[in-house]
Amino acid sequence: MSAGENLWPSEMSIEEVRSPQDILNDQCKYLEQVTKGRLGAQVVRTDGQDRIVLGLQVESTKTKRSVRLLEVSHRHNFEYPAHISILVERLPDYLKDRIWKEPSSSLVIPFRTEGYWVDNPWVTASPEEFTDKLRDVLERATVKAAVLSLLASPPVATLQPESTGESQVDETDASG
Amino acid sequence: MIQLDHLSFPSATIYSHMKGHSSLRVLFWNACRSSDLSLICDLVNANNVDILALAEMEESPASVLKSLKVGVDSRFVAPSSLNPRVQVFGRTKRLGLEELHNGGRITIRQLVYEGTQFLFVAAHLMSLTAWNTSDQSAEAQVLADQIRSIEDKRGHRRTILIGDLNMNPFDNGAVMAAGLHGTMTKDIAAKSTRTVQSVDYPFFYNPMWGLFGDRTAGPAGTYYYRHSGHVSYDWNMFDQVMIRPEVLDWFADDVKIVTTLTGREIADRNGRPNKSQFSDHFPILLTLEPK
Repeated sequence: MSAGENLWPSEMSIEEVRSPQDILNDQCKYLEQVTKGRLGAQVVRTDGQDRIVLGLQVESTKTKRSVRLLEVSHRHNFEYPAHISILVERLPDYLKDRIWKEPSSSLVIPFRTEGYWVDNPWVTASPEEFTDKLRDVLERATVKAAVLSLLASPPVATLQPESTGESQVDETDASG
Repeated sequence: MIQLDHLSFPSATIYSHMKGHSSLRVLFWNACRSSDLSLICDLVNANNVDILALAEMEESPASVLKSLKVGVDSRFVAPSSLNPRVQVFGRTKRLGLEELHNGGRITIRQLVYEGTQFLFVAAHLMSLTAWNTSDQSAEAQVLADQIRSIEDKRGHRRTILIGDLNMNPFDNGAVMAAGLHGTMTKDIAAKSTRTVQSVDYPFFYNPMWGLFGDRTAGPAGTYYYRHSGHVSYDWNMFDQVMIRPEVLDWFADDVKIVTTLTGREIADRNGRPNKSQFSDHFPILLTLEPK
């Protein structure tokens, strides 16, 4: 009896089997390298009841200010599929080129709405897909902006007893 | 851990800007994509708000700040933030409110009040239209992990959480130990932690439990929604304040759901949030007093 066709998908080569946490850990090391240690990064793991959530957090080593850039969720004991959520991205309507308007709230007649499919482009089924999507996320303008802002932000002021009263602080100075 | 954050110095020096009162009034509002800046100013003026936190605000923080400076107090500040979901404004720079951590759906700020540092957490979690209850529980756990992590780094748990959690005080994410661990009485919260499977989880006191239903001065909740299925609470308490037991000494036992504003129809004729002219959420107002 001759061997039949190999039906296993090409993604299953041994070299590519890396967990989302492994891949994220690599990116943490790379970020520390490219920023020459000015930023530290870590993967913070939360074990939920039905899933594991991996948060990619970046912290300024100088100011200790931190930002969670993204989260990756997957089931316990199953690293894939994994879902990526970008946390630093939510454009307000005034920055969008297209917005959804709800129907008039004065409509009070109950009606049955049809179910509909919503595509989820952030679900990845393999290390290769995960790596590709993660590259997309890290190249996004909002993510880059968050990292650069972290590099540029001033340290949070430490609380010091006042000795000379109100006049030392410029109350009209808005930092926003 | 060295505690440099709890220094004592005369509060009168710091809070002389708050004419006539030294209480601290914090207002959170899910503005439901509002861009009515005069309404924001009216809310802040009418309630003597010192800290304003907004979710679903369509106007940029710079626009809101400009209105607050012109319409309320020129000293208002909007400390820089990387958070895209919640905007935070302070009546004066002395309140601090610098962002220590941006968790995406939460922003954690350093608040200075009465010579003491607090952690001020403003949150806007995802709604059930996009998530299910399992998603929310997981998110509450992630959020709580981040808060505990920052508390450990700062060396104290004087934490105030306010925001639209999109869940009720009795939902798993708000109650479970590994989640927000909100409890309905100060006595229980004062025990500080509860141990589950050898892990100590700190409590939050959640005063919103006491604002449910008809037997309170305010409305039955902050958000009204009639579900078409068998179970419908109708009124929900999605907008919540939670405080750690370490903050109870400053808590004036004063949390209100704001339903009135002169010249504005915040509530409709049924007493529900007036979505067409205001928002589908009522604002909530927390007051802290000097210790």
